[in-house]
Amino acid sequence: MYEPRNSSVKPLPLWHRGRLVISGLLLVVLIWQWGSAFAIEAKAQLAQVLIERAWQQKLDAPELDVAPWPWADTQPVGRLQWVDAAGRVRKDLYVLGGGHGEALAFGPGLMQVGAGSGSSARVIGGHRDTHFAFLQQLQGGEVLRWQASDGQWRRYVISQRSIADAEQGDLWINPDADSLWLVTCYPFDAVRAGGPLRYVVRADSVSLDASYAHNRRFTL
Amino acid sequence: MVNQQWRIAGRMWRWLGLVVFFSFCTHARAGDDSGRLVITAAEEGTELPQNLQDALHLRTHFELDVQGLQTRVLVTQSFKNQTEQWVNGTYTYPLAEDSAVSQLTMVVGERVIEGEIQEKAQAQKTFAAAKAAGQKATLVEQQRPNLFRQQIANIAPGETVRIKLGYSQQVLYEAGEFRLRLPLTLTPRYIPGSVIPGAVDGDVAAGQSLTTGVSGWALATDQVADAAFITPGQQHLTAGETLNPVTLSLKLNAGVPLAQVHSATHKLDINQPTGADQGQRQIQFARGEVSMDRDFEITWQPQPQAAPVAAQFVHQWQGDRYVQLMLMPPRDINAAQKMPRELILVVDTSGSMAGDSIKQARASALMALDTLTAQDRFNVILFASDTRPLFDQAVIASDANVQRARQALKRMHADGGTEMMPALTRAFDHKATEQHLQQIVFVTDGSVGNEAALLQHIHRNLGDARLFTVAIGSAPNRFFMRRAADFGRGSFTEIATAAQIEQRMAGLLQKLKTPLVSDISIDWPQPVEVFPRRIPDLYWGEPLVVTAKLAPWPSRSQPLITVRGTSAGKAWQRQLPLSMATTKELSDAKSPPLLAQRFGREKIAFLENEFYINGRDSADDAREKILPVALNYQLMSRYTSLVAVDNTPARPPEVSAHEKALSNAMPAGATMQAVGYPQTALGITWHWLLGTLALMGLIAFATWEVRYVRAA
Repeated sequence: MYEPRNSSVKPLPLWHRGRLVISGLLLVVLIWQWGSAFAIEAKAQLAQVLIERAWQQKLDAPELDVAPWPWADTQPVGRLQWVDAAGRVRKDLYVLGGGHGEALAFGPGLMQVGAGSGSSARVIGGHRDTHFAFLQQLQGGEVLRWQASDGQWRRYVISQRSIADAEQGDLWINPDADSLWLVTCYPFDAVRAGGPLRYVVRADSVSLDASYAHNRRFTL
Repeated sequence: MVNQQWRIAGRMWRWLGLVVFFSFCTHARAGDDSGRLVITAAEEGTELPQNLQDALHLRTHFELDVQGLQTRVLVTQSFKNQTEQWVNGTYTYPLAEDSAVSQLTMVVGERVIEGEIQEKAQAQKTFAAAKAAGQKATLVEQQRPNLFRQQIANIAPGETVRIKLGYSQQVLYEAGEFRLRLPLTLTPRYIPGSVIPGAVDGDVAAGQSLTTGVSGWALATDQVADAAFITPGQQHLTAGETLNPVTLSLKLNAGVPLAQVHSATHKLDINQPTGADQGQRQIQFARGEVSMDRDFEITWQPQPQAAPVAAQFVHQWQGDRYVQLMLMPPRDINAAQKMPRELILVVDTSGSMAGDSIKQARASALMALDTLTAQDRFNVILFASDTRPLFDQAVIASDANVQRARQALKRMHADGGTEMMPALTRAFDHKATEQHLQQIVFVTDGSVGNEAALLQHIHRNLGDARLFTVAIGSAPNRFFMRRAADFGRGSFTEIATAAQIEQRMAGLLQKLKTPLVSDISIDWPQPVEVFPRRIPDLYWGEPLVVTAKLAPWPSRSQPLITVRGTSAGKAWQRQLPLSMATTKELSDAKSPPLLAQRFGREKIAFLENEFYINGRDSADDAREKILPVALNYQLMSRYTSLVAVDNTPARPPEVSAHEKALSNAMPAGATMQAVGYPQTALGITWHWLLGTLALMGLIAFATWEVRYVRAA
């Protein structure tokens, strides 16, 4: 057997105190980091609920500006859906105006194209770790739907997926082309934010008039 | 005991350290990708210029010497490294599609290094070795006959490297007007096909790491293997700024008294040198320096009574004589024959046509419709990503039908990809009746990357139709458009500005209307090798131009060349004496004379065409035939490159050089827009990871504590 040591009398050794401090610091880091991560997720999820409400109001009265919450500096401009072959909605997102950082935290942002007026090409940016994580599952030929504030749904078929380099140049689009461009960061599993690569999904409008359907057979 | 616990904890820490290290590695890898790029914007606060263009600044000077139908060009490109680092630069730029590129000089300060023609793989090896050794080196490779990729290795911080490229190009003579076009930028090319697996799903950098230098915005596809090399970055001009400044010094010696010299694309400063004759001019840009955002086109017209009807140019080299022969068929061929036509109008409505181009295409197509008469038939096919014929088959040109076509043309807008193959297939599907002459008018900027496949397609499916190409825009792919017209046995028309539409389309409509001279043959007084080997039919306003090599031959008193042809069913014949005199030498003694190189270039073009006809399988065969020609005449080709190496090492081995690409300007009038990419990641994973690390640290401490107590 051994003799119990009188530990209450002896002061804690210095390294032991240091250990406590480090443990405390680690706890702070843990709460801080997980808290941030949780906050991001919560913000992304919760905001969509609030934006949905604002969007319904917007559809009822398109001429009004509706802020999803009183201090919001952005407003919903559209609704984006990913529809599978069976017609099920796999992803349903409310899109905010502007591609700046604050707005993107709450939902994908519709970016300004050129002067911004009269363009029918829509470039939508979203975070790869929240709203636009689903882009990695998209396949060519799948259908995206877009609802503008007039309430009309438009169908787009995914025609191209590519990886671009934000530092090599900008995204070149034709503003007159009726198309959707979904942009998010790449690679999807990168640990840190701020890399130069972007994943770009292009979808082109399906105009359903007869001559188009007739001529589809001539395309490759 | 305590020691052991420390060791356990130590092991734990080491393991944690490893995790942290790994996470940084992932980050660092993302950073490495940017090293391949133009500027690492991620490093905030570094003193790097904002503009892509500023990393390597480019100035270009063109020195042109026009003598009759030949132009000798010396381009000087100055690359200034404006960064604090050593830089390897890549610049992809267009030259004329018929340019015979033969000379490369690299000038660094006082040092002048002459380049040489080498077989492509050998040149790459030479360049790579020099680049790795820190030596200054330049490699110029031909990606397309009109698109070249140039790499410069080891430019010191703040240093300027000047690259001089010497080549010659041919002046076009058509409808009494001489024309020269200098491509200064390119329209972004559409890359058809699906991306080669591994490039998109895998690591982007890995997919392209086999190549040296920076690459373009497109990835290789099954149809365009070198997509990354023909899609350089492009920038819109901002108002008041000169992007890629270029200056011009053109010495025009037309050989005939001039009535007019004009450029539709640039304002010029035109002077007649004192003491020079009526055919000479000294020309520069009126503004001195302009942006390289559109092709430069210059035209000159001789005084009416001096318009040449025949000309011969002769150069001697290595005992052989090289002759270029130009002959105008008689203008008074009567236009009695009027065959009803079937006009198939194919109009490109792809995204690259957006802006001025689509307007010009619309105006041109509407003009073509105007020429239809009641006996004619027609159809209109619009295409972009898909093909949209207006009618199922060609219909009679009734007022109602033409009206419908006009409406469709007015409504069309530019949008989508450039899938030419299905559009051409659809056009060739039209089967004209015996009484109709089928003419396909193809209006496009030709901005595609799969030229070879398209040319082959035209060759195989043309049938009895004739293909007339109309090149639209500030910077069309002239190589494809001219070859397509050659393969389509039609002719080539180009429209650079709205002001040219009327005149150029009127020319094309003349060609469509009046009969051509066909079955042309030339009798030479001695054995000869001549290109083009099969002489194409001539349309209104077009001269006959051939380049020939004549072996030494005992001279006769009056050797005659006889040109025969059929025009409107009647035989036509011209005779002219074969010139024995040698035209004034334009080139220096080092390289083959101009006409010898022109002959070599024509021969290569002929062999290339054979390659396009036979398809990819004949690549080895084509290489075997083209390589000796290119080496003999010291020309760049798809199998030969120019390389220059300064043997003195420049970059110290401990410093690394960064890869930078130069952008071209977007062609003027194009409305394609650039959207800056948003920052689209929050780094949630990073937060989770750091939190997890902290948790593991805590657990480690906790475990250790328990053992410590127990041990105590």
